[in-house]
Amino acid sequence: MKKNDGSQRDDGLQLNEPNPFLLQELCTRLKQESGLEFSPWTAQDAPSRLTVLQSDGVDKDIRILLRFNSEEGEVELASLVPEGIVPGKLVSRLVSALGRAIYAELQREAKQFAPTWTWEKLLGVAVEQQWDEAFFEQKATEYALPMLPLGFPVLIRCQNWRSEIPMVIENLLPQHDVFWVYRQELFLFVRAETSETRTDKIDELLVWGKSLIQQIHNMLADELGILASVYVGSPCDGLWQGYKEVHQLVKLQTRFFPGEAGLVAWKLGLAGLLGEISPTAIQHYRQEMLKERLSPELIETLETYFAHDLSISETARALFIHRNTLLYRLDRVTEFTGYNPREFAAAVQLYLAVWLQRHDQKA
Amino acid sequence: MAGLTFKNVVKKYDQNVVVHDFNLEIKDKEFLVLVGPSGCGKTTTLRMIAGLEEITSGELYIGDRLVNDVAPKDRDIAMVFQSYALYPHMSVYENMAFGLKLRKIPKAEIERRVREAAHILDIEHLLERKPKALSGGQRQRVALGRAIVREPQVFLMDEPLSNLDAKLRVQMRAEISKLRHRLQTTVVYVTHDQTEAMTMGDRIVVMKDGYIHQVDTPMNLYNHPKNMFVAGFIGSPSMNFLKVKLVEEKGRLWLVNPAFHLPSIEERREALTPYVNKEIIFGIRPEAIYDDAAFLEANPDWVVDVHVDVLEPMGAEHYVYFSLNEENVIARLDATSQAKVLQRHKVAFDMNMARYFDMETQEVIHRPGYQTAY
Ligand SMILES: Nc1ncnc2c1ncn2[C@@H]1O[C@H](COP(=O)(O)OP(=O)(O)OP(=O)(O)O)[C@@H](O)[C@H]1O
Ligand SMILES: [Mg+2]
Repeated sequence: MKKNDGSQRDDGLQLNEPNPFLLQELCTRLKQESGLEFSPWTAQDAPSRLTVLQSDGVDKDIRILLRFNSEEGEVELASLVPEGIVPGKLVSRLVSALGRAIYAELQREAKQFAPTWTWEKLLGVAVEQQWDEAFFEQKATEYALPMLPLGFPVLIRCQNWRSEIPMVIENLLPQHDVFWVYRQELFLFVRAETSETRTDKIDELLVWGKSLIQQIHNMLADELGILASVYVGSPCDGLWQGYKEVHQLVKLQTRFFPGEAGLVAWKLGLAGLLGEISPTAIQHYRQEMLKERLSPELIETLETYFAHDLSISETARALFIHRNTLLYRLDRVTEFTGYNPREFAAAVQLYLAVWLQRHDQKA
Repeated sequence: MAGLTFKNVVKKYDQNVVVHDFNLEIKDKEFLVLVGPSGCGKTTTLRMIAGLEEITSGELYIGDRLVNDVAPKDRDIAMVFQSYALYPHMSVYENMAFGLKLRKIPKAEIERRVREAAHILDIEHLLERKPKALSGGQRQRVALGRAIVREPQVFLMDEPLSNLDAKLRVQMRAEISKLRHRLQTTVVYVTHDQTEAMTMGDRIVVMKDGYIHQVDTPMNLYNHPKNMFVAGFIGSPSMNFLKVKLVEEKGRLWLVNPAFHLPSIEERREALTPYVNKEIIFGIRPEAIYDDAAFLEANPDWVVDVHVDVLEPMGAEHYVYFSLNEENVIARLDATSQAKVLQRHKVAFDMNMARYFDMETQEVIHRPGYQTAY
C-alpha cells in the first residue's frame, strides 16, 4: 500500500494547536506523578478562565491551571483540587514545571514514533468525523500531504469480501496515489496519466476512465469470484470532493441502474438530473403523465417508438404490427394522457415519464 | 469437462423476475450462445453459472454436481470478458500465472500450463513482454490465455468481442472458434449480436424479457423460427412481416391485402385451413425476394408490383426498400438488379420460403420439415 514519507512536519510549518493525543498522554502521566486529575482546558471553560488568570493560577473553584508555551502552541490543562486544600502559587508553578518536563519528553518520544499522516489516514478521520470539504483541505495542508496529480476517484464495492481483493486491485492499477480499504469498500485515487493515456487528451482519458469499470469488475469476478460495483468520479485533484462524488454515484446506481457493473460521473444523463429531485415529486409527475391506465402494451409501444426516433414505420416493424395498429395505439395514449406522442414537446414529457417508469427503483 | 443443466431456474430481484423458469441442458463440449436484446437476462444467467449471483429457485448442475451452494472459486469455471484487463507491471507469463498462484497451484504445474497455453495461442515469443508492448489482438489472446491455464470445466464469455473494432472482431471470432475445437471444452457465450451467435454457436438460446423463446441450431433458427420474435431477431436485415387475409379461391389458398394477391403453396394448405377468412402474418425474408427475369417468368403468380423508396448498394447486392399496404419491406437483390429509386419495379416473393404466424399468439403456424437439433 502507498505510504507517504511523512517527514513534512519538520518543514517549519507552525501548527496552532498541540497534538490532542499528546495532551491526553500528558494528563495520564501527570496523574501518575501528582495524583491529580487533569484534563485539557477547553473553550467551554472560558468563563471561569478569567477568574483563574486573575487569581494567578488558582481560581475560586479551587482549580490548578497548568499553562506553558510549547513549539506547537500553548498547552493549557486544568485540574480540580481535592476539597479542603487551597493550593498556593508555588503548587501551581511546580505543577507547571512538572508538566513542561513531561511534555518535552513526550514530544521527543512522539518525534521518534510520529504517526505519519497519509491521505488514507486523513480520509479515515474525515469520514468518522464528517468533515466538510474546506476543513479537509485545511487539514491536508496542515499535515503537508503531497499534492495529487490529475486522476480518477474510484470506489469499488464488493458483495462479498476476500482478503486477496486489495492485492488484485493493486496489481491491476499500480498507478494509484491513494488506496484506502474501508469495511468492504476500496477507495482509490488513480492517476490519469499512464503509459496509455495522456492528460492533454481529455476524450481519450474519459474513455479510459470508463473502461476502469469493466476492467475492475471483470478482474474481480474472474480472479476471485467476487461481484463488485465500480464507481468512477470525474477527473479531479481534490480527494474529498472525489470521495463524495463516487458515493453520490452509488445512490444513483442503486436507484436507476441496479443491473449495471458501475457508473461514471460524466455519463449520467437523465439520472444525474432526476436524482436531485425528491422521489415524491417524481412519483407525482409519473402519475400525472401516465395515470394508472396506461397498459404495459402501450408503455412498450411508447418505448419502442422513442427507441426508433419517432419513426412510425420502423416502430411498426419492430413491434411486428401494422402501421395503422400503431397509429391507433398512439391515439389511445393521447386519449389517456392528454399528451400526443407525435408532437415533439409532448413526446419529451412522455419520454421522461416512461423512462422513470422503467428505471426508477423507488417507483 | 462437463455439461450444464438448468432445472426450473428462476432469478428475482425483490419482486422483479428477470429470469423465468429456465430449463436447459448444455451438452459436454458444446458451444452454446445466449442471444437476445438488452435486458433479456443474458448476463444474469451467466452470473448464476459463475456463482456470482444466487439462484432464487431451481437447480443448476455442472456435470452431475449440484452447484447452487458452491462458491464461485470452487465451480471450476473461467470467464473471458469484453475488456482485456491485464496487470500492467507483470509480464505476459506472470499475467497468465497470477490466477494460478492465487489458487495455490504448485510452481512446476503453473509453468507447464502457461507454456502449453502460450503454445496453443501462439504467443510463446511474447511471454517476457509487458502488456503495453502488445497489440490489441495479442492482449486479447493473453486474456484468453489467463482463462485457458485454469483448465476449467466450462468457459463463460460475456460479450468478449464487443469493444473491438470490426476487423479485430472477425479475427478474434475465428480465434475463439479455433480455440474451442482445440480445447474441447464446454463454452457458454453471451452476445446481443445475432451474426456472432449464428457463426459461432453449436446451438443458440434466443431470449427475451427473461424467457427462452427457442433453443436450436443456427440453421433451425433461421429456417424454422418458432415465433415472430425469433424470426425477426435472427437474420439481417430482418424478416419482413405483412398482415394478410387468408382466402380460399379457385381451389387454392390466397394471401390477400390491398397491395397483392399471392397464392400459398399446396404443401401448406392443411396447416393453414383453420385460418381461412382470418387475418394472419405473412413472413418473408429479404433474401427470398427476387427480381431477375428468369425467376419472374417461372413464377408469374408470385410477382408484385412495387414502388422503390430507397436503394442501398452493398457491393455484391442491393438493399431495396419499398412499402406494401403501408408496411415497409426490404429486399436483398442481386447487384445486377435494374431497380431504380422512386420508380416502379417488379419483384417476386419466393412462396416456398414463406412463413406464417398467428396474429394473436405470434407463434409460427406450421414448420414443415422441422427436426429438433438433439
Ligand atoms: N442487481 C440488480 N437489481 C435489480 N435488477 C437487476 C439487477 N441486475 C440486473 N437487473 C435487471 O435484470 C434484467 C436483466 O439484466 P441482464 O444484465 O442480465 O441483461 P442482459 O441480457 O445481459 O442485457 P445487456 O445486453 O444490456 O447486457 C434487467 O432488466 C436489469 O435491469
Ligand atoms: Mg449483459
